[in-house]
Amino acid sequence: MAGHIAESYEDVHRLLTDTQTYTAPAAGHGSASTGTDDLFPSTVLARLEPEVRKIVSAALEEDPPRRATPNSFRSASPT
Amino acid sequence: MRWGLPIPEVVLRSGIEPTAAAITDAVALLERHAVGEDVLAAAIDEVLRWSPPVPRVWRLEASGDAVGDEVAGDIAAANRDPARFPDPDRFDPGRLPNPHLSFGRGRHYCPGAALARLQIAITVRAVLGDRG
Repeated sequence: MAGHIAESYEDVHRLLTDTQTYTAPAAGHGSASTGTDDLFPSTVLARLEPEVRKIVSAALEEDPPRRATPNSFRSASPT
Repeated sequence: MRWGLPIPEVVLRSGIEPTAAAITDAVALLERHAVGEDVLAAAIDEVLRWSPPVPRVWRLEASGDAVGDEVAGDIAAANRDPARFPDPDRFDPGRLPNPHLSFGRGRHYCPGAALARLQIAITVRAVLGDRG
């Protein structure tokens, strides 16, 4: 990994998963996950979904979506 | 760079700013593609691959109990590695499989990934309706 920047998929994957060689800056603060979505299992998501819908609806009611102007998405140019 | 942020700050930052960025990108990108409900989940993952809300992460080299230099992981570059993703610069809403690294991987995989996907999907449906 020249220049201490991992760019290839293989190198970045190793950086994220090889805990013998690399450590996360916040590792000492208990931020580790088990690698699954277990903080939000389907049962919890099912309970949260109506709340998220309410929040989104309220936000859109307060500030309705508007048609983008030509300069709105200059950085987004899907090919 | 400041290491070791308090957990509440990490959760708040991680749960708000990247999710807001991902929602914005999802609406902007999927507004231009006819994406049905059947492929919405795949399309959201393609948004996350194509435009990762956290494009770079850092780790510290570890050696026993000591820590060494910083190493950056370029998530955005990895997500477009042609060795892993065919035609990586093309936005393909139906791309499968899509093992992007935008939520990290391994022990520090984003614990809020499922909630983020749910928030993105609900907002895309609400904003784009049948187009989303």
